[in-house]
Amino acid sequence: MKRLAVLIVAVAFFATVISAPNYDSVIRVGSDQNPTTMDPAMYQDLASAQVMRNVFETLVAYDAEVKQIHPLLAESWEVSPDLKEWTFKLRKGVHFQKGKFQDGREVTAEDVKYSFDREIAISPMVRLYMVDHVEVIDRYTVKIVLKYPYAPFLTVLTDIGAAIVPKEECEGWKDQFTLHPVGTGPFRMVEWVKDSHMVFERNEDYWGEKPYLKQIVYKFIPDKSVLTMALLSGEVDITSDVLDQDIPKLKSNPNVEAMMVGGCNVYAVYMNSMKGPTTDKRVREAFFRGIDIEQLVKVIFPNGTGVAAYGPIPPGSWAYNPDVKSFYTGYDPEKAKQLLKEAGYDGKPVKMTIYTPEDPNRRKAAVIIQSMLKKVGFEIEVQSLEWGTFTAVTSKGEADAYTIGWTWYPDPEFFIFYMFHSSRKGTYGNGGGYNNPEVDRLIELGESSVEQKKRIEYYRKAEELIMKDLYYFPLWHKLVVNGVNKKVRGYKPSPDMMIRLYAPGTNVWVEK
Amino acid sequence: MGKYVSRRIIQIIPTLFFVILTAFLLMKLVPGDPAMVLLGPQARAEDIARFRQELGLDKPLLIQFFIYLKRVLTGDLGVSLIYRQSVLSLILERLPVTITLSLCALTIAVSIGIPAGVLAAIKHNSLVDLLVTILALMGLSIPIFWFGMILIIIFSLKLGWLPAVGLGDPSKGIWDVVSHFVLPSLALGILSTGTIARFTRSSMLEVLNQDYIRTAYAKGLRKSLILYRHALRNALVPVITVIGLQLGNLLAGAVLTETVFALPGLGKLMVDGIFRRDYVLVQGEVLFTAIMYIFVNLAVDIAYAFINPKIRQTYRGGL
Repeated sequence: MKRLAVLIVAVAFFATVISAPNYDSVIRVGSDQNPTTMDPAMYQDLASAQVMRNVFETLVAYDAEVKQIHPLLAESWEVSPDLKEWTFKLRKGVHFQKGKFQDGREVTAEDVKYSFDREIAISPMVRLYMVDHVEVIDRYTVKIVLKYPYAPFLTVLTDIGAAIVPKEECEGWKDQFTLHPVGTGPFRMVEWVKDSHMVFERNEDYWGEKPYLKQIVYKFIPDKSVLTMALLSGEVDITSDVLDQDIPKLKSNPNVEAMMVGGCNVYAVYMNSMKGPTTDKRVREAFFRGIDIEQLVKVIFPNGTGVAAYGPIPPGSWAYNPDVKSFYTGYDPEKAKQLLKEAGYDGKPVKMTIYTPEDPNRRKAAVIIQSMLKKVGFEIEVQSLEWGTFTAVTSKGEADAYTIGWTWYPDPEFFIFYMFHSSRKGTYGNGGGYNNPEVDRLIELGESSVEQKKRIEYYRKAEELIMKDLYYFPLWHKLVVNGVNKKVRGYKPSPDMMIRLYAPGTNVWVEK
Repeated sequence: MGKYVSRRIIQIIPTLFFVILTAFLLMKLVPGDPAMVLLGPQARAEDIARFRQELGLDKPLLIQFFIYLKRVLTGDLGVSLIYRQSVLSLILERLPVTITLSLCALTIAVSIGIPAGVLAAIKHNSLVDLLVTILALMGLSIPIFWFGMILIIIFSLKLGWLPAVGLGDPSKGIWDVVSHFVLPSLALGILSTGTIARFTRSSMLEVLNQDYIRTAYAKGLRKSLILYRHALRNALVPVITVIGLQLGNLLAGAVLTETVFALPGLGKLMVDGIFRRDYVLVQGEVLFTAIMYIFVNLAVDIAYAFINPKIRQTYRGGL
C-alpha cells in the first residue's frame, strides 16, 4: 500500500515535470459578470475591462500581481520635474490587428493622441480628466501635458480606458466599434453572444511573446454558486469569484483548487465627524475597544476568504504596511465601558444609527457590531438601505456611521485621497466630513512625488494619523478567490479581481 | 363577435396609457439620483450635471413625461446607459431565448398537468388523488431558484447527464441545443404544472357532477367515451384561460430561471439592468413586458370567446 502511494506520488511528480506548455491550449473562463461593451472609451465595469485586455493594449501595464508597472506599447518614458509633462517613446513595429478599414498598419504617436482625445471626449467616466492636451513630437514620441502635477498618472494609463485604438476603425464603425473591436493585443474577438458567451482567438501577428492559448471562451453565469458548480462539473476551467460558503466544495474535489490573493479592497465603518455622538473621541474609542474584530471576521468568512483589516490601505496594494496593526486600538470591553462613563454616558446608552447597503456581509457585520457594542453601553440601530438612497444619505453627511466598501487601483492614492482628503467631503468616500490638515498635506505630498519609496512613507504616515483619529473603523479586506482546474498552468490571481491570462510575466496554458 | 373583439381592443387603450405612466413614475420613485448612482462614488460634480442634462432629468416632470410618451408611441424605448445601445434592440436580441424557454416550460406544464388533473378527478378521493394534490401544491410552493439549483446538483454534478448552464452550440448538433433547455424548462414549468393540475382537477370534478354526464351514464355509453368526449372537452374550456394566464407567471419566473441557468434572455437582461442601475433599460423592459402581457391576455380572451359561446352572447344588444 505504502509502495503504491510512493509510486503514485512519483508518477504525479514526474508527470508535472515532463508536461511542457503547448501552443494549442483552449481555456474556458466562467465569469459572474457580463461585459457590456468592447469599446475602451465606453466601459464602466470590471467585466468589460477584463475581456478588453485580450484585444487592446495600453502604453504601460501591470503584471498579474498588480505590483509593478511594465512598459507595453511605450518602451520608455520621462517625466518633467514638475510632474506635469510625461513623454513616452513608443515601441516600433507594433501593428494593429487587421480590420475592415485598415489592414494592420503600424501604431504611431498620432494614434496615442487620437485615442486619448477620443476617451476625453466621449467617455462617461472621464478617466483621463487630469490630461490637458496631447502633443505628437515625432512618429514614435508623444508628450502628454497634465493640468496639474499628478504622480499616479502611470497607474491611470494602465486602465484599459486608456487603450490605443485605430482611428479608421473607430470612425468607420462609429457606435458599432464595440461589436468589431480592433486593437494591438494578443487576441482577436471572433464571437460575442451577449449575456451568454464570448470567444477570442490568438492574434498570430502579435508583436510580443506568443501566447500559449489558442482560444479563450468566456461563459457568463450570473449566480456565483452555479458558477462554482460549473467549475466542479468541468464546464469551465477557471472562475471569477468563489463565495466563502463554496470553499469546502472546492477543497473536496481533487481536480480543482481555490487560488487566493490579498485583494485591493477595504470595508469599514466610517463615523461622522460633523455631528452626533461620534464627535466625542471617547465615544469613538469605546466603539473601537468594544468590537472583537477577529471574531467578527471569523463569523462572516468562516472559510477564510476575508481577513481582518487594521487600516485603509489593502494588502493588494504595494503601499500596504505589514505593521499597520501596531496603530490599532485593541479589543478591551472594560476600558470601553469606562470611556463611556467618562464621556458622561453613565447608565444611559449611546444611541446611534449605522447605515448599510444591501450587501449581505455588511448587513451581518452591522448586526454583530450592534450586539457586541450593546455589552459596553451602545444602543445601535441598523438601517439597511437600497444603494441609491444609501449613497444619497451617506454622502450628505446625515449618517452617524455607515459601512463603506472601497475597491480600486493598487496605488494608495485611490484609497487615502478619496476617503480622507477634506476636499472629498460631501462624496460617498468621505461622507462623515473627515478633515485633518496634516493628512491633507501628506496626501498632497504623495500626489506630487514620483519616488515610490517616498510616496509609501507619506501615505503610511497619513494612514497612521487616520487610525489614531478613530473615525475609520476597518472591518476586513476580501481575498480574491479564483476557482481553478488543476490542468490550468501559469495562472496567478490578481488583487484587482481581473482574470489575467496573458500579462507581463504571465502566459497561461492548459494541460491536455 | 366582431363587436366583442373591437370592444376588447378599445378597452386596452386606457390600460396601455396607465402602464406607460406607471413605467415612467416607477423610475421617478426610485430613491437617489440616477446620474450620481450610475457614475459612481468617484464622479465629479460637472460630470453628473452633464449626464443629467443628457438624460433630460433637469426638465420639469410633466415635460419629461410627455417627451417619454411621445418616444414610446414611436417605438423608441430609449438608449441603455450601460450597453449604449437601443433598449428595443437589446430586448429583441434576447426575446427568442425567453420565448423558447417559456414555451418549453408551458409544454411540460400542459403535458404533465392536464393528465395528472384528469387522473385525480376520475379517481376522486383515492390515494392517487391525494398524491396529485400534494405534488401540485409542492410545485406551487417550491422556489424556482432552489429547485433549479437542486436540478443542477442532481443531473449535472452527480449524474453528469445534462449541462448545467448556458446555451447550446448549434454546430454541435440539435441535441446540444435541446439538452441545454431541459433543466431550465423543468425548473420554470413546475409552478405552472401545479396550477394547471389543480385547476384541471376541480374543473373536471365539476363537469362530472353535471346532469348530462349522469344522463350519458344512464344511456349506457362507454365510460371512456363519456370521460374524454363529453366531460374533458367541457372541462378544458376554463383551463385554457388559466394556461393563458400562466404566460405572465412564466415571464416573471424566467427572470430567476435565466439567472440560475445563465441563459441570455429577457430575465437576465432585467436582473443585469437592476444590479447595474441602468434605469432606462429597466423602464423599457418593464414597459415591454407589460405590453406583451396585455396582448397575450387579449389573445386569450378572444380565443376563449371563440370556444365558449356564452361569453359572446353577453355582448348582444345594448349592454
